[in-house]
Amino acid sequence: MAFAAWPFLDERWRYNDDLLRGLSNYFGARPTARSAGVFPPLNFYDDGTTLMVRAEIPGANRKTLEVTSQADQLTIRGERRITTPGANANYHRREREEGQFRRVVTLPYPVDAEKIRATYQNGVLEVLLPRAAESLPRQIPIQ
Amino acid sequence: METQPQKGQEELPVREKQPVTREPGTHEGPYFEPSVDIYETEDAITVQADLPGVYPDDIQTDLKENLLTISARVKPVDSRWKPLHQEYEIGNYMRQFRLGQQIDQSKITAQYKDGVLTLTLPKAASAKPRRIKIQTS
Repeated sequence: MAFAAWPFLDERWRYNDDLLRGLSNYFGARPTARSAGVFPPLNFYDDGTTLMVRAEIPGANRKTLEVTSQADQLTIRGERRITTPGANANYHRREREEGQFRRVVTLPYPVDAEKIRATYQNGVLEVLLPRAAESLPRQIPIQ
Repeated sequence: METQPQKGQEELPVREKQPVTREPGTHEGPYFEPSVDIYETEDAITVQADLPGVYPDDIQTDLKENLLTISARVKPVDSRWKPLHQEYEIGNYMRQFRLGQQIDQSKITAQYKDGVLTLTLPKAASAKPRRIKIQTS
């Protein structure tokens, strides 16, 4: 289930993730990423005003790449095809895979749907989602 | 709801990045082995490597004594971006292959598009198959 990918939905897993990460840091290992098991794996970043979602999708067919948002959900879909050599070619290694993908994630806070921007550069899909006014921090004056 | 890709279409699986365990590079940070396709035709060996997130100038390819090295440096995400949740790791790439064929060094070409490096390594004339005509008496 792609929905389970967002850790905020399942506090138990988030807790375990943090715990494991803390332990591995303690033992000197680098922090590990946890894949949700659905292509593409996503990384989420925030700079205080904008949410950035990134995915490594080398060789995606640009025409099939599609990013859509609806309410609190972001959908990324597309296709990757491998150009195959002629029949007289002889494979030594064949590790790269092709196929379709579709990933749906629930966003952690409301975003301004009108201002979402997506780019695809050097095989990385980047989606910038500015926070909606209601999800920007607001200082409460103390009476 | 998560809907499956259309029937008859293969769904792209998730592959965890493979950390490089031997011969780490001199740059700091983790190194990963890029996935590759390598195929050979009569004239050339072609290597295609997935190197997402690197800029063309940060890719280095080197062929020395039949040892092909592909390495690429990845620029980290700008520090103003605080990671919220990470499903894939970011790191440099490095992989080496021993080529069994003589390559014409001067004719190697490299192309990088949408995160995929394509190296074409033309075989040296001596390595190309030559049809030996069978003499019939």
